[in-house]
Amino acid sequence: MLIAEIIGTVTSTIKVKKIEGTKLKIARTIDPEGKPTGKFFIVEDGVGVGTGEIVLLSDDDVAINRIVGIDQTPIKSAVVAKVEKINIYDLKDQA
Amino acid sequence: MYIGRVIGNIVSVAKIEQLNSAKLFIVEYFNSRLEPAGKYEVSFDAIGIGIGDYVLVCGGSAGRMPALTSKMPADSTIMARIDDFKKFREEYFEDK
Repeated sequence: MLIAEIIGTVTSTIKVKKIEGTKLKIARTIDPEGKPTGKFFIVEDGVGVGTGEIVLLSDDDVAINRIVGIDQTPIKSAVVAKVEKINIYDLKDQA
Repeated sequence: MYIGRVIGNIVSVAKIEQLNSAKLFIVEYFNSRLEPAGKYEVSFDAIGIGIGDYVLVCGGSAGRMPALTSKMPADSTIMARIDDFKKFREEYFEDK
C-alpha cells in the first residue's frame, strides 16, 4: 500500500456503468515524512475521508471490487485506511 | 520480491474491517547495490517481524497467499526476514 494525501474530489456525470455510484477522490502519494513522491491516483473512498487527510491506498483488486461494489470496476486504487500516526525510527546501520 | 528494511509502522483506527487485525509496517526498499532506494511501501506483516529487520517483500495479489493476509487488501506483504544481513551482504558482493 502507499501513503497518500487526499487533495480533492472528482465528479463526473457521463461515465461508464462500471464506475457509477462511486465516490472518487484525488490522492497524491507522499513519503513517510510527508513529501510528495510524484504520483497521483483517482481513488474510491472506502473509509470516508476529507481533503487534506493522510490515507493508505491499496491496489488489491479483490478489495476494490468489494469496496466499490461493482465487479471488474476500472478503478485500480482505493482508500482502505485513514492514517492516525506514522512512526519512523532512526535505526543505526546494523551491517 | 524486494529487499528492504522495516523503518517504522502505521497507526490507523478508521479503516475497512478487513484491516482490523492487520499489522502495517513501513518498508524502505533497497536497490541492487543494497542501499536504501528512497522508495517506501506500507506492507502487511505475515511472519511477525520487528522494527529494523531486513525483510523480503512480495507485491501484487500473491501478498494474499499467507493465511494471515488472505482476507486483507494485501498488495505488499512481508514474507521473509534476512537473519544476518551483514553476512548476506558480504556473500552478495562476493559473487559480483
